[in-house]
Amino acid sequence: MSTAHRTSRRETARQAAFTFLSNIALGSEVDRSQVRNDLSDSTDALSDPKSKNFANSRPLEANTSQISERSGNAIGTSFDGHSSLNSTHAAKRGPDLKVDTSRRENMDTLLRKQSSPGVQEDWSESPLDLRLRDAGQSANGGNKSLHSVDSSLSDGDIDDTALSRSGQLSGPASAVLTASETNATSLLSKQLESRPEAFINHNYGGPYGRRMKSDNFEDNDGHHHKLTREDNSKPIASEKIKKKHVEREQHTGLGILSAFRYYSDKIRQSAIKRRGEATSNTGYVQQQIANHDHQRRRPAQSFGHFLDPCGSLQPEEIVQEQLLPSAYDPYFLENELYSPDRIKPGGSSHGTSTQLRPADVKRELNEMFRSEHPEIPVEITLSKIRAIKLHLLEVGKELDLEVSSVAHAYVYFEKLVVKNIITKKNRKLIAGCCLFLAVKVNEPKGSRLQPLLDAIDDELDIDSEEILEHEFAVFADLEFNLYVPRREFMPHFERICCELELKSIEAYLGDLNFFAADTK
Amino acid sequence: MGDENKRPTGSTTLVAAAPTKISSRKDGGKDTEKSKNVMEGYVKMDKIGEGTYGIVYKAKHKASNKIVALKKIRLNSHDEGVPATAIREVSLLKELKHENVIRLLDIIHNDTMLYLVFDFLDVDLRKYMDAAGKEGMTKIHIQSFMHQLVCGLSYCHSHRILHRDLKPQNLLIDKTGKLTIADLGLSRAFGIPMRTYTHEVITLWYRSPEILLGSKHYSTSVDMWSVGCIFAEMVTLRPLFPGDSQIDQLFRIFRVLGTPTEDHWKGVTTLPDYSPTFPQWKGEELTNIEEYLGPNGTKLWKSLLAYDPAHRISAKACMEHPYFLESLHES
Repeated sequence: MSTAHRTSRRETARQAAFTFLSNIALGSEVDRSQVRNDLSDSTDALSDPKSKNFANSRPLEANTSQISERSGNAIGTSFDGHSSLNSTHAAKRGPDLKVDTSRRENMDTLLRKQSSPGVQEDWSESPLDLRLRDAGQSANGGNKSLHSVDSSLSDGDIDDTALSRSGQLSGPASAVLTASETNATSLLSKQLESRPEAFINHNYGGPYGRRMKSDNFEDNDGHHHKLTREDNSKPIASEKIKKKHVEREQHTGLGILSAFRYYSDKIRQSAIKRRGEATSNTGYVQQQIANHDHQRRRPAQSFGHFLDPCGSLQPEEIVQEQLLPSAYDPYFLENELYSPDRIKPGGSSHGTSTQLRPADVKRELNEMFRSEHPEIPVEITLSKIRAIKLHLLEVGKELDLEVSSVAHAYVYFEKLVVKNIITKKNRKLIAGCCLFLAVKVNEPKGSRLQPLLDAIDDELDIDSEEILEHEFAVFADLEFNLYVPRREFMPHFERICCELELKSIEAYLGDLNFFAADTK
Repeated sequence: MGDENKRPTGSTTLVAAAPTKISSRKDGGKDTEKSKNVMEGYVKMDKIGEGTYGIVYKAKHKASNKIVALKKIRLNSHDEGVPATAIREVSLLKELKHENVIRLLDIIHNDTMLYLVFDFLDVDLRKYMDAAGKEGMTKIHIQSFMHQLVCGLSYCHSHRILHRDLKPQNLLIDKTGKLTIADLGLSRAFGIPMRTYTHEVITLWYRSPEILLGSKHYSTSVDMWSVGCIFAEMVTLRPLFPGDSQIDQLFRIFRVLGTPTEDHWKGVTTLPDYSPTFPQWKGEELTNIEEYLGPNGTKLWKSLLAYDPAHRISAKACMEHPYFLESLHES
């Protein structure tokens, strides 16, 4: 099947679904006939049973991760499985999708059997709040697997629910489902893209039938859990999930395994206020810092869930090919947009001055960065990130480290910023650990580490004991991915070369022939 | 993929560490106590050896009854934190999934200790050769081991990984004759722009001439040189170039292969440690090895030990070498 063909199908499905869900989201009447037509079109296109799984797989995997990313950011938790999700999907696409499909079919049957009065009730309670039930899970009874595809499952749920509600579930069930799943996922990501204020809360409950209510969310005291790998054969690595702690509702008998929320701006505002607390406990390193005083000896922990390949060492073409929209982007936090040259003088307060004071430029840039990156905590400003990087570069200059080592440290640090692990308080410590790890994996062996620890102490005021204590937690928060693809570190490498005013990379490396041969 | 489920992920993660009822129930409720210490999920059996940065134990994972190798790394005794070799090994091995490359099954950490859990394999190639002798190392064995070695290495190289410490001690053999490449503590990813690479790599006997002559950069061909040395060693059961110093190592190579000149190796005279005063050897024929390997085997062996790294055969090309298509017979 040609890619073009697949893409066009996806487009059709996406459009239909988008219309459909945006209507729901706005609480307006659904134009059913319109949706039915659109859906059946895409259903037809996907109803060929042989092509079903395959056609389904592409949009699903891409969008799933987008959604998770968004939701991760929105609730102030970290999403760090970007690239790993990608590759495992590629590697295991076949079997996983089979599982998916069968579970979805279950869901479908169940939805039809149970009819949907309950669902309708919920909807009438709050038209903006989409409540979903993972009927497939309750049908399977003790199915404990919190599959990472659950995020996509819950997306699929929307459409399943919606479909059964409007009584449109006809025809070969699986085919309809396939189409609707495609719709749901693509549409959600579209909606997220078009409405950046959207706040989505993925909720993974245990198999105990926990129920989420929108009003409960307000007094949610924020228990944070990691979705553990033993539940899950796939690495959406340390995806942190907010779990509701509602013991008394455990016996309602409804297997709500995943709930999916869509909040209006108002609710999001309150969520933002609370993000401070929400982020305070993400990441191994933050846990470690938080627990440091009262729990000196930590129990042994297994980190086996990070050992699934994420494909970062595959040939560069394959890395590029399998790139997900959610993959780390070295131009995300640092690009020409944030260049001081772009800040033109002419502010309202001092109209006569042709030159802006550096402090004003800094403030302008920070504001610009803030508006571009609402998902990053307010306390982490562009100037703070840059200052940290400059400190690391200073250490690099002092010890004559490889430029590529510093570039790797930048990548690690930015990844942790995006994962919301960096806070104002821990930024120097974590930056120090990043450089320490980068030197360990990248510098020619035999480099002494003690001078590095001393230099970090001088430059960042973080003593070596702290670095050594938190090194492993940072390593784990990076999911042990210290060898990153060229596309991730080369932009930083080039920026550092500019910063150092090196004449050219060739001059720096001396023997480019070797390097060119290396990268072919 | 099937053994993913069997992977001994201890139940202790952050979830289990959090003081909630839910987390313990997730473990199935039965081994909540055990989950306090993942290491209690393993029974240590024997000490297998002592690596560069820790002791290696043979152990049984209770839950799956799987025999594993536990590499125990003591953290508080290092003033430099987690050993760089362990960090490299973890970062690299997590990306590698190939039947001829060792699998890292789990990684367990507490404040003072780091355990790496690997597949357990019975014996390394050095011990195998010592124990099995000629009968255990027939032409067919050699061909099979060579093929597996080259397959595993080609996989590593395709993943931008230089092994940098290939030697019989780091090749593990199981009862079925499967060969596994192990110990990536000296490995690194290539394709990263560097002013220089370290020269303290590869055990002297298996070190390639370009490293010995101080070349600033080197690439996958250094591993291929080691493969060539191991190839010969499987035939004679003795190391091919057992030098006792850098210069002795070089001269042993020169004696057998001839002192390199610009003719067979363009640029050799410009390498930092090259000296025009090197004795000029013509090289000698190692007839015993060549007769044993036959024409195709000899051809492969010679292309593995080509002086010029640019002309040394790659792992990928090796896999298609006629030598591996031969059906060899005992004789």
